[in-house]
Amino acid sequence: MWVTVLAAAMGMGAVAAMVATASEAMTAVVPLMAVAMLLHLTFLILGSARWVASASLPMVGGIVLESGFAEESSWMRPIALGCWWYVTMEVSWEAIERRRGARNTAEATAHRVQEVATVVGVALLIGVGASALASIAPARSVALQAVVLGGLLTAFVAMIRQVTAN
Amino acid sequence: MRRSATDRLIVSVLLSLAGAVIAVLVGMPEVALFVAPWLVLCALGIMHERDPNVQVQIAVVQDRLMVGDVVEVQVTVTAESNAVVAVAPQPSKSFVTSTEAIRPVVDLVSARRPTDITFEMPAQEWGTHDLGAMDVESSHAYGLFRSRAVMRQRRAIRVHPTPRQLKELIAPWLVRRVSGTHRSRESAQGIEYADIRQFAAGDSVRDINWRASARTGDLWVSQRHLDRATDVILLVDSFVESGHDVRQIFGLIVDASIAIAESHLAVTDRVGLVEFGGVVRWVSPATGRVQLQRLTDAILATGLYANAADKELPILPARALPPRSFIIAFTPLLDDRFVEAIFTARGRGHDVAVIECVPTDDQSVDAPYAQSVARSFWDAERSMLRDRMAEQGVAVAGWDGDENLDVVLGQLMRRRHGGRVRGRS
Repeated sequence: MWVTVLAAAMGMGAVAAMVATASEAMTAVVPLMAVAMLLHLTFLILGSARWVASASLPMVGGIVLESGFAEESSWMRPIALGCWWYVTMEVSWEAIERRRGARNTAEATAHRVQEVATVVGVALLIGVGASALASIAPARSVALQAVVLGGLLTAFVAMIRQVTAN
Repeated sequence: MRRSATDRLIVSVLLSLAGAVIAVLVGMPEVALFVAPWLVLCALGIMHERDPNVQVQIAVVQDRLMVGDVVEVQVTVTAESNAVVAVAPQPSKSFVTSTEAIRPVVDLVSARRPTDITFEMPAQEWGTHDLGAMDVESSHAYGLFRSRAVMRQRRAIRVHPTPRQLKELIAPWLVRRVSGTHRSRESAQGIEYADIRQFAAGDSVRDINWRASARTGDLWVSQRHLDRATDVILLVDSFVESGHDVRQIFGLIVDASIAIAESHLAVTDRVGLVEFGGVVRWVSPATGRVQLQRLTDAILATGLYANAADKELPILPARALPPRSFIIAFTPLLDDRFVEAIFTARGRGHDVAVIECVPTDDQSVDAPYAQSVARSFWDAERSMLRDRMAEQGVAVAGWDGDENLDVVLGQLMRRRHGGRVRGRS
């Protein structure tokens, strides 16, 4: 039960942090965050592991809106919020799984915590690295976008090939 | 084991793709950074993806126990790589236990050493049960994939019903020529007084009844009943009759038959079993604790099979149903084939008594008129059947499970008193 409460609190915290750090002129973020909170709480209480993640869409929407209107681009804010939201989702899944009656040992819980911490650690490193590189990067161009998009697609193709090979 | 993608993989791939495409096409690196943890999760999960190939070894600590005892099932889990494994027992449907006991346990299984998981399950119902099935679900690295399978290794346990201590024994009319504790109808050397007769040459001085001799002036000797053993055959009805709670009726049959077998074996009687139903099986009569074990195993393994075939007692060999044996039938008297078998046994000269195992019927006072009329007909029909049995020399006593079994045995003995059967009092 306490894991569910923790997940709900973390979800509300993420939404509050998003609203609190949004620019004052950006009023459209508030209803989006209300939708995110509603979706998260509803599916967390209903116990749907798949649909509880649907609350991520308004969160992404909020980031898009904020990025479009913000005068200054801050890279640490989305990475911190992204990590927080990811941990919220993991805690929500854990809460839903525990409510199905499974008895988790301390070792299993510690292993999961370690995996989540690894993901967050690597993501933060990437964020900090990207933020550092951005300060010395050239202006965005169509060519640069094409290179990055091509790289991403190649990475996904490689990933899918590895999955099918396994 | 069957491998499948988890919700975590679907969500992380969709969010990563959506975030990356939006970031690149609209030129918003913030979106890519927001979904960075999901991208990292995908990358790490795929890089470390490997089926841990989980195997389990199932062991049951004790395979014989009583109703209410706790059975300990130990599961040793091994894996080729570190994995979080959820194990849940899937006992056979006949095994009734608490839902708490079969909750899955989630534990970390290391590649280096096996992990032991113990389940403690209270056995709530008698019978032979298989506890060798485990639902095993292993979560791969970072939880993007999982493998699941139900692993089976036959681990049978026998749950015995709670023992009942009986004070009464149904005295048989026919006995074997072996010493025991049952009173023979013949008068000879025994313990229980039978009659007196005039002294004759060869009589022992110890048998002289001094009180009668002093009163009459002649010598009189006391005669005593012989103490003999008998062959007791438990005739168990395992015909399935629709419209009744078969499991509850059979529970009464199992309870009563094991208690009576135990009490007769304790007084050196030979006890055997004939299961008469869809399948006909028997255990030849014998004495001792091992025989009790044999009988209990056979009764617990009794299957209830619907069968429309005609079954007759003459198909049984003499060693399963010895001549002059005392047959105690345990039946709800619902199947005509079983009733016919009782008459056949009586016709063949066996001493037969019937314990009618019928659970308490909660008949409502507000039952519809048609239902109560039907019930009256049903009761009259059964009463006629019992009378017909009494005419044939078969005593019947009913047991609903609530009453003390000793009381039922007392009723049976009263009805069988003096070598002839009386109707229901």
